[in-house]
Amino acid sequence: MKAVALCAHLDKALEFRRRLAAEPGVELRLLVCSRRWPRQLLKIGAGRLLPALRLWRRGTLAFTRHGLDDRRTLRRLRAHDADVGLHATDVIYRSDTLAAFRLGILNAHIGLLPRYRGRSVMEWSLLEGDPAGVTVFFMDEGIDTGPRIVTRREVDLSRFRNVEAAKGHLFSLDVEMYAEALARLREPGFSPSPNGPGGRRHYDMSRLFAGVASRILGCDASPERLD
Amino acid sequence: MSGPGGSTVPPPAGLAVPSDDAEETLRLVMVRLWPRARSGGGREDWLALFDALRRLGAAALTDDRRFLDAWNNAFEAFAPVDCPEALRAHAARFLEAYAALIRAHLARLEGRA
Repeated sequence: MKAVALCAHLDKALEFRRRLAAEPGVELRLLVCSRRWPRQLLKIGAGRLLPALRLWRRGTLAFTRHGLDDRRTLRRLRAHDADVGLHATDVIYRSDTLAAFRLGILNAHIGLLPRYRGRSVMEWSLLEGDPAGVTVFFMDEGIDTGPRIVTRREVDLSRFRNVEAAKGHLFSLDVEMYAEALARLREPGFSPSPNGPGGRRHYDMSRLFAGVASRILGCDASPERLD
Repeated sequence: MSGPGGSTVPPPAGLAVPSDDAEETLRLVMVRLWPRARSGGGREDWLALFDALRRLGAAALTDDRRFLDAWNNAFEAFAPVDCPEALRAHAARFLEAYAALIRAHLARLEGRA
């Protein structure tokens, strides 16, 4: 299975490489999409610069200053003839970009779909007394409305004492969740589950409610809590 | 004092289910009106936000806390603003309606306790 990680940061691209290179049956390419990629390259430090340059020379790593829906980027994406894209940028994709991949672009969303779409979903889960977690699904042009869920995992947040730390933990699971999703997609006969109706779009949570969510997290925290 | 939906007495919280219209109004508030008002918005921006929130008054009394939170967000954005004279009457109505919403939810919580 051929996958292209679409990354806003070179660091993230290298993390994809580190964690997915050994996945059996996955051929990984990395694309860093940022106007500032030359600066990222200069700031990355010698220890990671050399591996990055090696990947670039091999054609595994590429850079673009253009947007993902720019025709030059689209041409490059189509040339990969990849099965899936792995989302690690901060943009919403247009249909042309989504269609540049045989199966589509996967997103690791830090909420459990279909119920929790949109923003501040971890906090909303806490407020509603529901489990938190991560869902990997194929994106469409809407906000977390892509109809095919590949994998989802409930995540216990009880060791975290504040919302930021808990959220950071959920975000840090993205590459691991992508690996799980790619493994699922390679299983014979696998079919994604529907991102069914009943979901609600959530929005930025107010400071008032975020404080309540934080208190709920603090109350639930175990003795060995992490910052 | 009028209730959040314009009625004299707000209905008991949690009884109704928000309509599709309310869902779309919520999207409009959170994606367009609230960001515009809080980032240095002028009188017209605040008026548009207050007006849309008024339409969310009934939904904000339901169990779906996203609607109440739109009011919370608007209040948090408005609280530090040096309210211009031309906005004062509208702001007062917004604050009264917000207070009524909070009272309705508190009364409901006390009823549960």
